Amino acid sequence: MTVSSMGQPLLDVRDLKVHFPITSGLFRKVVGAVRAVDGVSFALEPGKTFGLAGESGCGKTTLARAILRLEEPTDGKVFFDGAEITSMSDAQLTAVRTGMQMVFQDPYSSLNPRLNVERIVSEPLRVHRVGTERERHERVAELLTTVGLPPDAAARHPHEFSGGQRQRIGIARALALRPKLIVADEPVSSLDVSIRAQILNLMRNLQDELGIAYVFIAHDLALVRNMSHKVGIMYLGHIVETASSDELFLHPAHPYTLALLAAVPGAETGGRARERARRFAPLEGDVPSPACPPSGCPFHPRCARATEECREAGVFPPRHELAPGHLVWCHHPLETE
Amino acid sequence: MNVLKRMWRLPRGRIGICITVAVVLVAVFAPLLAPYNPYDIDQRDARRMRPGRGHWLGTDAFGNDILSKLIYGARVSLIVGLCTGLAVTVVGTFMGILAGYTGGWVDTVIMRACDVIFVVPGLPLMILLANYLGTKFYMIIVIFTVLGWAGMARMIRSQVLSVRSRDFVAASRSIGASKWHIMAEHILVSVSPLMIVNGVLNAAGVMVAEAGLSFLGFGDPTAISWGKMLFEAQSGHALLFGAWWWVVPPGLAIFVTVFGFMMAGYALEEVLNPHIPRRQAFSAMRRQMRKFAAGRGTCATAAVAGGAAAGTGGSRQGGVTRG
Repeated sequence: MTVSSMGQPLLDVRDLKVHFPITSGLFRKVVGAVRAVDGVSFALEPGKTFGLAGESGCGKTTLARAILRLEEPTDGKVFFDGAEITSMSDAQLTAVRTGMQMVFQDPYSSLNPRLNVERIVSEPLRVHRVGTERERHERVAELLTTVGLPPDAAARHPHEFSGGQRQRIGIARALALRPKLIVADEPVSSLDVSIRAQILNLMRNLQDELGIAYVFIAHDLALVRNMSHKVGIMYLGHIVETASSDELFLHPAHPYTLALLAAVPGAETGGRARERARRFAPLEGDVPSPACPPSGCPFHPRCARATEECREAGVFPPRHELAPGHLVWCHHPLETE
Repeated sequence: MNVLKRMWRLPRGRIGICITVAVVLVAVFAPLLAPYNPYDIDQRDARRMRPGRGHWLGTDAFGNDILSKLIYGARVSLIVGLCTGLAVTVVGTFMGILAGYTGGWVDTVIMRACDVIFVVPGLPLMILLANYLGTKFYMIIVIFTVLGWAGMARMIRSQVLSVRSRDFVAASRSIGASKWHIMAEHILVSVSPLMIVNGVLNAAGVMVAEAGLSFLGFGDPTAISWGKMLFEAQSGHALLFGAWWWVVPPGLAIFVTVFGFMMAGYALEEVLNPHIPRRQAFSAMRRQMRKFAAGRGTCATAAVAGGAAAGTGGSRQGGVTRG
């Protein structure tokens, strides 16, 4: 898998920032901001998968929601299919939304328990007034078959299904408008391990058949590696390292990436990287609060390699391109031998 | 219907359904059931007759048959209760959803309007409005709705606030659904159990309030209602003459009907909201009862007055007169 691409990326995120203001007092004075996403850039080609990994609270979900403009970005731009969607009006956005859909983490709260599956899956079709009543009915049956559910599931309600089946319903809903991009926010982390593989295989088959691109978010590195063509490691609102999947896992360069790999029991990180990861001290402490991020490199308080340079206020670590497409933001990246 | 069947399985639901259906039937078939014309005042010779053969529940000071009045009285109680319950539900739900989902200045305006309605003393305002707008029963419905929607709107709003942050709303937004679509498709169905249950309980409360208003002499003077029967008994010094049969039936009728509605309401709540364990449902019921007893603004003060008059004899409050 190569990172370099021909032509235009399907999704191009440029320096995206989402800050939530912290207000205080009677007049809601803004006293600070939670920098949930603080300058993220990446690009995704059609039909490929970009994996996002990182600890809880590093801004993965906010990033996902900001890409779909479920959260309003504070700054930065998102281009989808060549069009800049960050400055679009709601009306313009409605048209674009047919091309990008989301699959949620929690298959319990993402399906309205009071609607039957037919209504849930047909909602995108109804919102965009696609087809007649009968055509929609047929499309729902077709979608349910696609995701591996019996067509008679349409008449039932979400509570009659297991977690994995519910996630299939959520995927069917996301597929209804034949999107080019699906943002999947930890689609399997609330499922049993035995069910996960089924859902992941389903997603991969859909990609092969329908050419859908995914932004795949997970905190399980093995999953991300398995699913993604390209991977970004997030820490405290920043992508600290990005590379093609194999490159990243075989030659991790950021201390944080290495620490994450070291924390995965039996991760398929490949010989040498694995060895180095073992020697590496495991991470201690928690992710600092994004309301008052550390000065300089956000990772320095937990980094064994941190020096005075890393702590210097206001200086974000420089970008190194270690290999084509392999970018790392670190003062002291590990050498890729 | 499935809901009714499941309600029937609960003792409370059965009681509620039986009473409600019985009262509705009595109201609908009043002309067939009533042995006399309740408006007939020709029987001057038969005043304050004890219950007996000719008049099963006796007669009042005007010589009217009390059973017939009681049967016709069900009509006003039901019409006022059901219409107001419906109107309050529709207006309150709409406002609550709009305020809760839209947020911002819309929310602020609607909630401040609710606050104003909450701090206005209900009973004096009702009396004032009844005098000003007239006491036709549809005017009473309007008055009760104006005063009643705020409580419903608040309750619905708080539920909407918890529903709007759920993922299925985000999913709907990511699809590109409009605010109105989301409110109609997702928010409304999510609050509908709360809406229905409170609509029914509201109807019960309004029936009590209507009786209270009529008891104070501000009801529709041309219609026969249970509250007005109590008013007449009160002003006709029923208890002074020992005419208990003039006082007890309308009081009991109000009590039984409201009780039936509330039972139906709680059974409905349990059926529509199966997550509420029984004990919790009961404590909710107790809370509601306490609220009624404590004189929740508009309805209850009048109701308690009415109830007291019916139960223990109204002679102590003999000072209440018209105007």
